[in-house]
Parts: sequence; structure tokens; C-alpha cells
Amino acid sequence: MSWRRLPRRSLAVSAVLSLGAVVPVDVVVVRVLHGRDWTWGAIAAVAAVTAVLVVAGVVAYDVTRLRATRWRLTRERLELRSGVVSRQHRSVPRDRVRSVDLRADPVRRAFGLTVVKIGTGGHGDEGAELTLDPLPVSEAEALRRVLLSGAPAGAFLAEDPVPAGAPSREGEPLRGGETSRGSGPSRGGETSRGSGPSREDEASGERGRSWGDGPAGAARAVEVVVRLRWPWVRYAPLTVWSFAGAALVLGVLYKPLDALGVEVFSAGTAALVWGWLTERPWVTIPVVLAGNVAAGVTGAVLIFVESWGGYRLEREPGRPGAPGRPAGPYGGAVEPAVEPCGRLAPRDGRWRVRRGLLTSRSLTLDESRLRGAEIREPLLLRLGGGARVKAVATGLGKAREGETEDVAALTPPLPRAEAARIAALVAGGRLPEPVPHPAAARRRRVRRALIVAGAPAVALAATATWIRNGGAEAWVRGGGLGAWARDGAVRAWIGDGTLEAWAWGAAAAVPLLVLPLALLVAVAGYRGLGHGLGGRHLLARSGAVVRRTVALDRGGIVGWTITQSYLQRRAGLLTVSATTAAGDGHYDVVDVGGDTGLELAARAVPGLLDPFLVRGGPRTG
Amino acid sequence: MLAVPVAGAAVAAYWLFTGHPAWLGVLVGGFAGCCLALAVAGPRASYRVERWEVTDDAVYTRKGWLTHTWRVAPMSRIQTVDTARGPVQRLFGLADVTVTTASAAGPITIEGLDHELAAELAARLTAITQATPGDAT
Repeated sequence: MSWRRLPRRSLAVSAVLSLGAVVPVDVVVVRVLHGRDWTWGAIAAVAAVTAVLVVAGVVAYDVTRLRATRWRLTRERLELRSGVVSRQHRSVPRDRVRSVDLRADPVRRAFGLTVVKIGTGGHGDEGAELTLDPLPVSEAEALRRVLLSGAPAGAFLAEDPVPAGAPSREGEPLRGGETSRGSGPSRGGETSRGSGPSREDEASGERGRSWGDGPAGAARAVEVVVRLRWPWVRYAPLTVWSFAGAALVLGVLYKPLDALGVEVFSAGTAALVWGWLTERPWVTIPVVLAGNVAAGVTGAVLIFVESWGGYRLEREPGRPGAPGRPAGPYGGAVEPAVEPCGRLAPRDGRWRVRRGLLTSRSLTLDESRLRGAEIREPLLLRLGGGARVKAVATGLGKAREGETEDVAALTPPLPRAEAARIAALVAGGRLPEPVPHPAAARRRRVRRALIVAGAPAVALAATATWIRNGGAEAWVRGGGLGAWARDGAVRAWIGDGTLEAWAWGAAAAVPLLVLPLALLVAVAGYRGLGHGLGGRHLLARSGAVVRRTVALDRGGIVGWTITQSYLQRRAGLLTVSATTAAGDGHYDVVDVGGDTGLELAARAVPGLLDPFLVRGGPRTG
Repeated sequence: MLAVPVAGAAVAAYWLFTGHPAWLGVLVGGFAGCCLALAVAGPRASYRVERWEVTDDAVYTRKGWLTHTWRVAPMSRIQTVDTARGPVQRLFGLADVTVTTASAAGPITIEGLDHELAAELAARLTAITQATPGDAT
């Protein structure tokens, strides 16, 4: 099996992308030279030379990278050789492939390329993913099918055009490196086909027929479970970022502006702004806050539109002959048969999330790696009646540093009922109704709220008493505050009782402000608690601020951790945590009644906990 | 384990680097006393609460004094079995057995077993694990 290369069109992409680096470099060059009284002609020449150097450098690096990168697909493994400085050879068994992630930014889309990331499970940062950057869209699409359908790599192996050297009838879809047809201008068939979402769709269908997994690829329809509905954009601003976002952007912008010599926060402007603010605070402060919110909301909506435009969640049926569930139940509300407990029912379809207005993203998950679904309701979204759905799957990488979006996200924020429907479909069975937890759990939360509100009050009251008894005065006289105390003002405050009055005032005011908030959080936290056991799933719900409802496949549970703190023991509660290979690694049923919790764990995975359980309480020996 | 050196270091630092003020002396003395008490009582307490059991189907541990933690992992989902012996443990002829499942929630560790028992247990676990295919990933 010969090695494939990445397409050379990638060079054009990196040349275009490097222009992004040229702009700031040239701006700095112009500024520096202009400061030294160079003529504009000379400045332009120098700027042009720097630009060419930057682009040439990037392209040269990309040439070496492309030369260094080779990949191939054999009957058992996917292999990748890469690395300019340190060479790597990675080889992944094909049955370890759990997800395929395609991602194309506008530039790559224009060239008909896409970045392919192949998730292989494992918890390591490095070992979890294989990246092919980039592949032609058609080739990526075919690779995706071949890898996840589990079929023999038919098209890739059989129609391997390298030895033959003759172009296949589709153009030259498979000959990655050898398709040296230059860049941009002479784009091939697959390039133009990959440009629009609808046409890409057509193209992929066609690919399926021509060199996907044989006749089956065309025969079985892809079922679209949900599509973006634009009214959902109303949920987009319901995040904290809508309120903090604008200020944050200002903070981020400060650096580059500073580099350009625009002094935003100079003393002059600061005084100006401060003067404007304090002149009529009742007008200006609301204006500033409203501006902040308006900017945040606009930003949130724009991000929503970009990242979820063209969103589609679809299920591709499994390969023929495999004992899979028919596609029917997923479309309708038919409940699948109750599975024998503790065993995974065969599920062999694939779920695919497609989205992105400018940068198109596509994530395909092997259904057999799904271990359930999670419904997430952050506070603001919950108040607005919305929710999001995440996949609980093995082999999905955690969001890496600097990546803001959640890899496992299956839906944009959407109405709660819709979220519940999708979660049930993804999880593969109707979700059980959550059962509320005992009142002791509420008492715990309320007590915690009282402590949170009460502790500062007690501390402040103690301080006030200390001041009244002359402790503060003696301390300050003894040099306790250093330079401050020499000022005399502090002493005066202590002397005439101002400080004491303030302390008492704060002791009264802080709990008044904090207590309602803390109690609200406590009650919301209690109301969020719940658990349930369905034919296929263990349901766990918790969270005061972000409410998470997790339906975990009972067959995916690989153990139990049961914890009981001293206070929980006194309240007769415990926390049952199901450990699993998927998602976060463990999902907790928090503060469930002692017997209920153990019974739940024992029934969810029969036979596992029973030998260690004395009915009526955990075994002590 | 660390309590004795920490207490010793605190006392030594007090003796060498300070002017022996009385309040600090009381503080250091109290701290050292607490550390020593912990060193004496800790192992006994943990010995009293820690339990483990291995059946044909599952590995089970219990530990924790204020917060009790019970953990169960089924044999069929065990991925690796390790034994580890530190220098001090070798001195006392002890070993830890660590059982890892596919979950990111962390492995199950049975601490301070007699090392022959630990080796035997590891061998037994490995044999059972090999007999049961799959790890549910």
C-alpha cells in the first residue's frame, strides 16, 4: 500500500493565510520607518519586501511540512508520518477510530480543502487525535465514510490510483499528493463542488455512490434529525458573555491598539471619560451599561450565526447486514425495546453534526461509542426556557487550551422540549422522569446558604465589637497600619466611631444582600437534583447554576464510587457516582437518600454491587 | 508519613532561625505535637476504616474517615493491574495494588498490602481480566 501525500493546493492556502500575518508586521514597519523620516516610496518598498519575505517564509515552511507528511490507510490501520523538526510515525488501528472531525475555514473552503481530525480515544492530549491538514473535501468525505462505516476500505484500497496513474472518472479524487494540478486557478471538479453547503451535500451523496461503501452508501438515506431554525437565535444572547463580553473585547483590543500607538488609557482620555461619567451619573452610567449589553448581545448573535448557521444533526444508518435497530424509531417517538440490563444494545449508525456559516465544521460520531446524552441548562438559558444537548461519547477529545467551543456539542441552544427530544434520540431510548431527592438535601443547601450569608456578618460584627472595645485604636497606636496610621485620618475615624458604625452597617447589610441570592441558589440547586432509572439509562440531574441532566447508558458504566461525607452521613444522604469511559469519566447522583442511592446503583448494573450490599445500609466490614 | 519530618523541621527552624519568642515556641510546639499525634493516630485510623475485597466479579474498596468512599469496579472492565512498592514499603514488606478501568475518574488503589499477597492478587486479577474480553470503551 503506497503512501499518500497532502494536496499541494495547501500551499496556496497557507500563502493566503500568511497575509494575515503580513498586515500587523507591515503596520509596525510603516510606523517605525515613518518615525525616522523615511520617504513614502522607500517605506512602501520596505513594506513590500517584508510582506514577500513573510509569505515566502510561511510557504517554505509549508513545503517542508507537506514533504514530510505522508499517510496511508491499510486494511487494519491508519498511519501518519509527519513532523518537520521531530519526525513522527503514528499508527492507529482502524477499529479505534471513534470520531472524524472535518473543519474548513473560508480560505480552505475556497480551495476545496478541509482539515481532518480523527479521534482515536485515549485520555492523552497528544495520542487522542490524528490530524490531516488538509485533504480535498471529496477525499476527506470518503475517508470519513470508510473509517466510520467499518466497511473494508473498499474505495481507498481497491481504487487506489497511484499504481495505475490514470485519473478516475471523477477527476482525480484520490491522488492527494500526486494531484499536482497547481493551485487556485485550475481547480478540479471536487473543488467547485465543495463550495456551497447544498452542493456539498449533493457531492457527498454522489461520492457515496461512486466510491463510498459500495451500493449500500446510496441505498440508505441519511436521516436529518434536526435543522437550524432561525428563531433559536433568541437564545444566543442568554450567556454571561453578553454582559461581560464587551468589556472583555475592550481589554483584548487594548494590546494591539497600544502597539499601534493609540493610547486608549492615557491620563488625558481617562480624565475625560471620568469627567463625562461623573458629570451626570444618572444618565451616563446606564448609557455605558446599555452600550456594553448591546455590544455583548450583538457579539453573541454574530457568533451564533457564524457557528450554527447551516446547522444540521443527522443520523447515517449502519452498514447492511449488521444487527442494528431500524431507522424508524429515531424518526418517530417509538420507544425502543427495553434492553437487557447492563448490556449494550447493538447500535451501528453514525451521528453527524454539520454547522458553520463561514468556517464549516462537521463532526461524525460512531454510534457504538455513544454512552448517552447530556442536557445542559446554564442559568440564563434556563430562565429563557432553553437548553443545549451534548454527546456523552468515548474518544471525544476534551476541549483543548484556547478552544472555546465544546467538541461534544450536538445542538445550539434550543427550546427545552426540543432538547429533550434530541437527547432521547441520541441516547437511544426514552429518558426516565427524574425523581426528586429527600428534603434533607434541601436542608443541607439552605444551611450552606445561611453559612455563606452569615459568616461575613459574624466576622464584621466581631470587628465592630473589637473596634468598640478599643482594640483597633490600640493596634493602630502600636503601628499596626504603618504609614497609613500616621495620616491621622484613620485614627480620627476610629476615634469618633465612624468606622465602628460602618462595620455595624456592613454586618447588617451584607447578609441582607447575600442571603436572598444564596437562598435562591440553594433552592434552585435542590430543585435541580434528581435521578431516574430507565430501561436503558441512568439519569442524573444536578447543578444550581448550570443544570446538567445526564442520561448515561447503563451498559457504559464501568464501576461505582459512593462517597458520604460526615455531614451527609448525619443527614442520611450519599453521593453515587457512576464511572464510565465516556465524557467526563464519572457522572454523579448528588445527595440522594442513602438506601435509594444504593438501590439505584444496584439496580442500574445488576450483580455488581449486590455482593457488597446489606439491604438497609452499606456494609461496614 | 510526612508528619514526623515536618514536625522536626518546624522545631529545628524555630531553634536555629528565631530569637525563641515564647508565643512562637508554644505555636511550634503545638504544631509539632499535632503532627506527631497525626503520625501515631493516622495509620491506626486508616487501618481501622480501610477495607478491600476481591470477588470473582468485582474489586471493592472502602476508605476515608470523615468522608467515606466506597468504590467498585467490575472485573470485566479492568484495563490494567499494577503493583508498586516504595522504599519505606519495602522496608516493611508492603505493596500497593492499583486497578485501572477505562474511566477517567481515576484508578482504584488498595494500599499497604503484604507484598506477597499483593503479588498474588495482581496475578489473580490479571488472570481473571484476561479471561473476560472487552473494556467498554
